[in-house]
Amino acid sequence: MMMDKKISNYLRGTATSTEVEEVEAWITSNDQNAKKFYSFKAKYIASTMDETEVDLNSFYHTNINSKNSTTKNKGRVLFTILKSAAVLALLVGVTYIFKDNINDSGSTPIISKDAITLQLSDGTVEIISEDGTARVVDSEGNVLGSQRGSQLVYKTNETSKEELIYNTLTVPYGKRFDIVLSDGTQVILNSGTSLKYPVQFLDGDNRQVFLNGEAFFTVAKDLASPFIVNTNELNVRVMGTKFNLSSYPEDQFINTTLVEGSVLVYNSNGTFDSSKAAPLEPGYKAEWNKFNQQIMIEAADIAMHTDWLNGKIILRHVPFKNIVKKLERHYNVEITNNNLKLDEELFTASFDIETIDQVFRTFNETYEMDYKINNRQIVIN
Amino acid sequence: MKKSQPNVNNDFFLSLLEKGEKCAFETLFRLYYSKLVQIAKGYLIYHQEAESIVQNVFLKIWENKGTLKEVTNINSYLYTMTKNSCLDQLRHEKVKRNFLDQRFRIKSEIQYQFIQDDAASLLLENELESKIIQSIELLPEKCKNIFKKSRFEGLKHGEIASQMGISHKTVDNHIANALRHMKLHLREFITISQ
Repeated sequence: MMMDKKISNYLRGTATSTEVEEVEAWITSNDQNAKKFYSFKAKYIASTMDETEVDLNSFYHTNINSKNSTTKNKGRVLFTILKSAAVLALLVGVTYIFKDNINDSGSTPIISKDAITLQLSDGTVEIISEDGTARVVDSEGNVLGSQRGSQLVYKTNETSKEELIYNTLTVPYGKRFDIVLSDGTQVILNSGTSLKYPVQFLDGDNRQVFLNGEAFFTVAKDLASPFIVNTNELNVRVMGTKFNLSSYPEDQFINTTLVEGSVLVYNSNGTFDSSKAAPLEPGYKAEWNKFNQQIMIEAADIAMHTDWLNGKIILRHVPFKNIVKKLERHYNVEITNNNLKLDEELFTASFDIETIDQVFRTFNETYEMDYKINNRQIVIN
Repeated sequence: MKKSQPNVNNDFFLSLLEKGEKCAFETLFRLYYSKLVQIAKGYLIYHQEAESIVQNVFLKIWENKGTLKEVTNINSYLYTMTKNSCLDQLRHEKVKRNFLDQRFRIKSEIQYQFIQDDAASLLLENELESKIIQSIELLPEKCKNIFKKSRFEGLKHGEIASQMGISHKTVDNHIANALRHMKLHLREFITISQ
């Protein structure tokens, strides 16, 4: 039976995202299917019991060799195991802290680098406060868009313009912001990101925006006008779809993760050629490696790439050096790591999200590191 | 089956654990750890938490070794502790996660039903026990005999001593040696990564 094959893929974790949905729908459709699945799954687990992929010795030695396993050294016991298994599950449930103390120092620079800013076509820069009601007005006084809390919404094209007028929205570290473009496309900008976009798109022309950083796009469908996201090295061309694009200049990889619809990913030098572009299916990501200029397409863990939308950081086997960047952006801190060995350690963690102090305290409980937090400067030795 | 079929529930084994006998604990750990991790992986949504859950189960056993005398079936005890910890974890995640996340909700519901399904639980618990017995059977003959005699045949301390005409203390030493021996041989069938 076809379903058996799909169920076994599902249990082994090799099912495609369509198969996953199919199997889950089949299980939940009636009790009989559910029972059948549970029994299948129990047998499957039993068959995996002979597999061993864990390091028994480290747990055993730390535990047995310590004379009294008191609660106090429990942390140390687990520390060793976790370290050797390269597994670090940091689970702390505190709500996401969105606010940041912009004015804590008292001195207010003209434009704080901690502010969300909007650069208009004439070069003037405005500060957008997170709970404000700013308006975007063109040179003739027409209102192009207005702000509702943490979202900036541009009006739909009423009068068609002849030329493109660009605005640039910049979100600093530690913040996020949403924008709805004039075609109805929604873009959620992650920390440390800027997006340049026309205040109105031209009719019948490609819709082009320029991204530096990471954003989640929900592109409004318009078959006549493909939507193109330009990054330094890579362009993503779509019709109507949901995808996440991460292209921070300091990262080695540009990741495009598709949630819905379809996209084409292609090199930004040179013109678009559909035969040379890489198509992506939902549930897959295209990873552009800036070092070797290669693209790799593979099944993606959607949650890991879109975690930031819920104010989370999910890491699965990520080296510490890459975690540093994520923490810096998320918490608006500067981390200097002098422990090179730590850089290569792989971690699996999920922040849910607590303060940076708590993150480091938790890290320290499980992986001992010599660190100092001084305001926004963190030094690890 | 033959009457010598081992089981892991004898009083003597438990009393060793209770006294804080490290060898007994190690044997239990080596026999059960990876199998319980597989079970936990099956119950959880995020596999990476499986190991720490099972480690906590063992830590709890070690810390509460004084209360083990109430345990009649250690296989069932270990299985149930693991399962309950996973259930707690699922509950915790259910509360924590945003319910707008439809895909997570489906997965969580399926895992929830699965962990509470009696037929599946019974199957797993029995499979666990038979795999453990198989593991013991895979031991080298000499080792297996010592192991069975001292650990799993239900002979109490004093009984062994009187049967073999040796002192209590000597039995203690023999058993400690046998377990130390076991430790080496167990490695042969428990593949250790790295």
